[in-house]
Amino acid sequence: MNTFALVITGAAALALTLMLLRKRKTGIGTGTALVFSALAFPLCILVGRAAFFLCSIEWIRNSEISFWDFVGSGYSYMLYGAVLGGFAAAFLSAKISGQSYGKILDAAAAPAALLIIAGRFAEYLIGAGYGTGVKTWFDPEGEWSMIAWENPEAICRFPFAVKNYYGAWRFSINLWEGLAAVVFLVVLLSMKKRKTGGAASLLLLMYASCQILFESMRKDEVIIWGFVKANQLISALLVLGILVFCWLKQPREQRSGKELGIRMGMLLISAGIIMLLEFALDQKINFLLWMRVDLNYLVMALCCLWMLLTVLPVWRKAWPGEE
Amino acid sequence: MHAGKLIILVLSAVVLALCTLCSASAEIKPIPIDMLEHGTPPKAEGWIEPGREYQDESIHVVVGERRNYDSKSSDGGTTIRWVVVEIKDPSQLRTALSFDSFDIKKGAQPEEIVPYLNAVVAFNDDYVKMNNFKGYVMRQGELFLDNLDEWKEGMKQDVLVVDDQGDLTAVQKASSADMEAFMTELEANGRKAVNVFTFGPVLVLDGVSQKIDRNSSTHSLNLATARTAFCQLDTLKYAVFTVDSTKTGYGMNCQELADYIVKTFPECKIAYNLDGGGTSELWLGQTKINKAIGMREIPGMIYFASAASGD
Repeated sequence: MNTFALVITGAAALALTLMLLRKRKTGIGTGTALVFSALAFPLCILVGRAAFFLCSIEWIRNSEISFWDFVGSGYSYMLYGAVLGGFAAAFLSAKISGQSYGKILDAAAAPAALLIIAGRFAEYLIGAGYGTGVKTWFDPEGEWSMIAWENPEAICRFPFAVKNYYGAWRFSINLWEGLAAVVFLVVLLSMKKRKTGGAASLLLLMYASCQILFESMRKDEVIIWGFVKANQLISALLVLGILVFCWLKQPREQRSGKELGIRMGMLLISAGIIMLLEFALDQKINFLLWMRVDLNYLVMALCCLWMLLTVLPVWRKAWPGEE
Repeated sequence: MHAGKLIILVLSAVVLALCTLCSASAEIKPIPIDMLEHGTPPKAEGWIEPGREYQDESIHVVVGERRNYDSKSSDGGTTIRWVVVEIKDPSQLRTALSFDSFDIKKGAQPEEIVPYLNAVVAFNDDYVKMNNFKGYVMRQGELFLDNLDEWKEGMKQDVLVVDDQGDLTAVQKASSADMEAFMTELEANGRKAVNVFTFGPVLVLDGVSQKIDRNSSTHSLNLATARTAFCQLDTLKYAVFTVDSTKTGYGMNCQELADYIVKTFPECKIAYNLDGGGTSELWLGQTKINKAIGMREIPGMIYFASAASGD
């Protein structure tokens, strides 16, 4: 077993411990937690790998590797696939234990955030999760940063950067993804008790909003559909889907079609700006040629935050706090 | 024999021996075909004029440029740059894939690849890893992909073959059967292919600018943009052209580039269009000398390396 697998296995054990420690708060029994963990571990791996395989359209058409060979190869996985695996495990364990599906998902939210933290930090071990070259970014003659830094040796080191195949230091985007997951964990651990499904939907909302930015910054091997990064597109659609889901979860008398329309419009405008910024990153928009990459990412981060804040009030109404 | 004559004789012998030694130290060492072999680093004293000219025992490079050129398709003036490269051994014309692998589909930043290669001149290649598994891909003698038949009849690509003598040959509108026939013929002539590119089209053949059919490819042939073209002028003598693009709508289309190459080098045997736009890269030593909007990672490079022994 390699080191990455060891770290993930250790994190899964920690996640189970966290789930058991919080059983009084989440209302999940020890048996249910154990059944869920036993199902989630293989299903997350299997569906995560399957999702990567199925989303790599060209790979399917041209690779001579079979699906089961790929699943066994340990080559890569897709986190959204692992999320689906988690949903399937929750569904099955709800059927087995008779406990609420939503309650199990809520109980799994904080442990899932813990697993995301471990997964992101473990990417250091497999050479994944890196972004642009540090020296390229700060090159005074380059066009990346508004800050010219002749000799950025101070940050050319772990954990801020990792050396790639060519010996060049690349920004560790996985560090920021891991730190974001730490914030998700703190939010989930400190949130007051809400109606069933609140914690799980909040984790998905926070993760998807942030991932739109992080996927853009990552320069390692990712699934690309045409010119779009698959995870970025899925994240944007997920935020939109969560908005609609939250709206539907509200009591019928509280639902306002106008509010949904306005919020969807706000999301679409943010998504449109992000698309424009993606083209600007490739310097394809003449009127945005002046925009350095760091400013571009700053605006993109604000758009992602705006998307999160657009959905959050509807989420609050859909899952109000319980006394 | 007089002592004076003896001294002159001995001195002459010493000078002769030194000359022989010196010529031996300037020996050219063919670079092994393996992609992981990169030639010797350019010599500091080889830069006759930094950014303009380099020369050592094995390679001579001269840069030319035409600034503020107004092509019809461009919204404004652009700069055309070319390097003329003469090498002593065909093994000095080489290629590298990002991460030295065809299986790893991610690209790398040119500023990382170039120092790794010890290149004297390096430029971008075709769409090698991003072509949806279509094309004919050979790098440093290793065949990675032979899948030309997925393109519809009218959209088939021109393929460029670099053989072990350093000669460039195009197989136009190639199918896999065409490539097989070409390779058989090449081997019958005692040669073999070392590098094969799938992009195109062929811009110039035997000093004649080709008529570019804008609808024959998905490569935006009629668009004014940054471009890279690879030419053979003579035996082991090549030129690489790039067209700058500082804004969308600026640059040259393929027909204009073909015509410009013929005007500049009427003796050009063959010129082949490579990937352009934000992928266009031309490096002299460790300095990028062209300008193309877009800060892309690239899937591979073609480069000329020094084969001087370094003694």
